[in-house]
Amino acid sequence: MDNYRLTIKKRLNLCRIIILLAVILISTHQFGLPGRWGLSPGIDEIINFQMGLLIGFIVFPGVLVFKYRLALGDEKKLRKLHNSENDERKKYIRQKSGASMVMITSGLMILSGIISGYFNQTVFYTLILAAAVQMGITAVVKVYLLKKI
Amino acid sequence: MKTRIRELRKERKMSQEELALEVGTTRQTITSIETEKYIASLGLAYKISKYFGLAIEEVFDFSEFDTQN
Repeated sequence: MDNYRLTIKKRLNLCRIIILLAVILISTHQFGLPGRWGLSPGIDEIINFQMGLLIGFIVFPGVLVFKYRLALGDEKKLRKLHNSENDERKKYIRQKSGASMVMITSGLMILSGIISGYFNQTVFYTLILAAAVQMGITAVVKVYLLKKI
Repeated sequence: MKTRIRELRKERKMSQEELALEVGTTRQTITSIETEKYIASLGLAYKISKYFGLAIEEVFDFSEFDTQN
């Protein structure tokens, strides 16, 4: 459990770094720095999407920071968290639904969509929609397997 | 696969949550094993049996795997 405690502390620090980076990036957007760097600030939908994503990068790690801090303060909660993360049934469901691979491919599609969006809006919407559908299908499959197994 | 986990738990007045915490799994997995929706791995079956102080065959029913000669 000591090793796991160290792992949680590392994750806590990583979450804090992600939150800090997201806050810095939001600040650069707010102060219009992309325009000064020669990037076109006129593509409103993409900028708004990025802002939403960055807010997500603050909220989600924020929830994790809260969860991990609670776990670090209580031995029973830490054991429950450890058991949950290493549960064989959950690992089996994750594997069957392909969740891990889908998260990676969806992340890459979203990143590609944001970059290509500066050149072609159609490509942006197509990639973002494809990523969303992919994640939605995986979520449905996961819920089905959670009920069935 | 049939098991005696529920019976053994009730003898010891133990909840699924408590058993799950002791053997390193989640309450949902214990529920799935008890309702025969999920078959525990060898490692988990061993941990559960060891916790109850019994042999694996005394906790899990392997009769469905018996082959006729």
